[in-house]
Amino acid sequence: MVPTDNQRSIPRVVLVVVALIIIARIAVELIPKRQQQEHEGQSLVRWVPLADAKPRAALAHKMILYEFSAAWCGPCRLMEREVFADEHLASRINMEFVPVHIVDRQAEDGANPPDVEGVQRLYSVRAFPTLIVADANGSLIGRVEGYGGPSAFEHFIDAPRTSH
Amino acid sequence: MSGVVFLETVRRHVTNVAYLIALLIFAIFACLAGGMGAASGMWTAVVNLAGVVLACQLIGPEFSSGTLQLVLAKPVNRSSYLVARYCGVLVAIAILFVVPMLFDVAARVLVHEEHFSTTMLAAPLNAAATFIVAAALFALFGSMTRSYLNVAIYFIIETVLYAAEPVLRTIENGKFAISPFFKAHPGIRAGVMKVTQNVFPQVSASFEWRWMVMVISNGAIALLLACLIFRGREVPYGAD
Repeated sequence: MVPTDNQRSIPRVVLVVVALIIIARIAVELIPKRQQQEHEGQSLVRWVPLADAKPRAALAHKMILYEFSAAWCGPCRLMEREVFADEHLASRINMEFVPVHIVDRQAEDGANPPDVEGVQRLYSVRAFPTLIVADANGSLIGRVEGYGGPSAFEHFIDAPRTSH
Repeated sequence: MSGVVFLETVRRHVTNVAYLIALLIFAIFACLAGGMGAASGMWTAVVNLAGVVLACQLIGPEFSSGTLQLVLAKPVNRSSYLVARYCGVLVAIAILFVVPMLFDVAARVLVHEEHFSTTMLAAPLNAAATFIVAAALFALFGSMTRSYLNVAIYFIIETVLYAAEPVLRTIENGKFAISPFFKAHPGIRAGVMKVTQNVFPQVSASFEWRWMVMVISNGAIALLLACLIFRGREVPYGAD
């Protein structure tokens, strides 16, 4: 069955729509992520709500990366700028882990919500930032307190993979 | 896009008994998950499977059954036909995600008295959105191979891409002869990761317009490629 020319042609509307979508994508890619992030106040990491972390980790066969921070914590802000705003590191976190961002509100509100309190007690979080890598059941795989720079962070997230 | 083909594709799916039974089961499952307070959208993994089944049948069975040969004997533009089939399948898949999601949210709000938030909608809707790319890829692979081989190609590429990044990292960190090369060129691993994220986007638990634009544009490119291949393909009866 040989198609006719009319059957072979790609409709102009399809080409226009695809071209517009590609132009939109290019425009989006051209917006500097850092600038966009400052504007929106978001990191490049796709944080998952605490309640969703374990089922998501079990379904995706991934480990959970808990980041415990606090509003008053300076090193936490530095880590957010240098790690969670870094395209490469954020991509790795998004691909390899189920990332969970937990903000301690003890200083501001006097107490944390019960679920935050529970997970902080479970992993004995005493300092900020604290990074915890755990499996889908919540078993501790890796832990680090404080922030030692992007290289130290990458080394930390490498370690659980190689030892697990 | 052919409106008749689009409506017929939607009608054929939503009136299929297996589809309706699956929809009912997913709705009950989502209702139970929501009622028990499980993570929002945890049932999407099951619905994903049904989505794959629908998406992979975009043009494959049409070859085997002879329907495609019959349709293309008419003055129907091939690209319009393919785009209409694609849109019809996407609507059928979207219904599979949206209906259980409504039951999930209703159960949460009624049983657990949770306050409605958009977070509840994000995971299922993002999971449905990944089919914009997945269905386009099934159409692309289906336009160049025999029916159902598109599924094999899709999963082989997915497996290879997901395996490539850890393998490259192991090589980078190891003491192999080629390790220095990969250490000196970290862009190779970053490139592999970028391709993986583009072709097989991971579902996020929050709404992100940048991610959505990426998914839509990649789906559009894959569908355009599918149209380009499909327009010149010979479709002899019995090829499959």
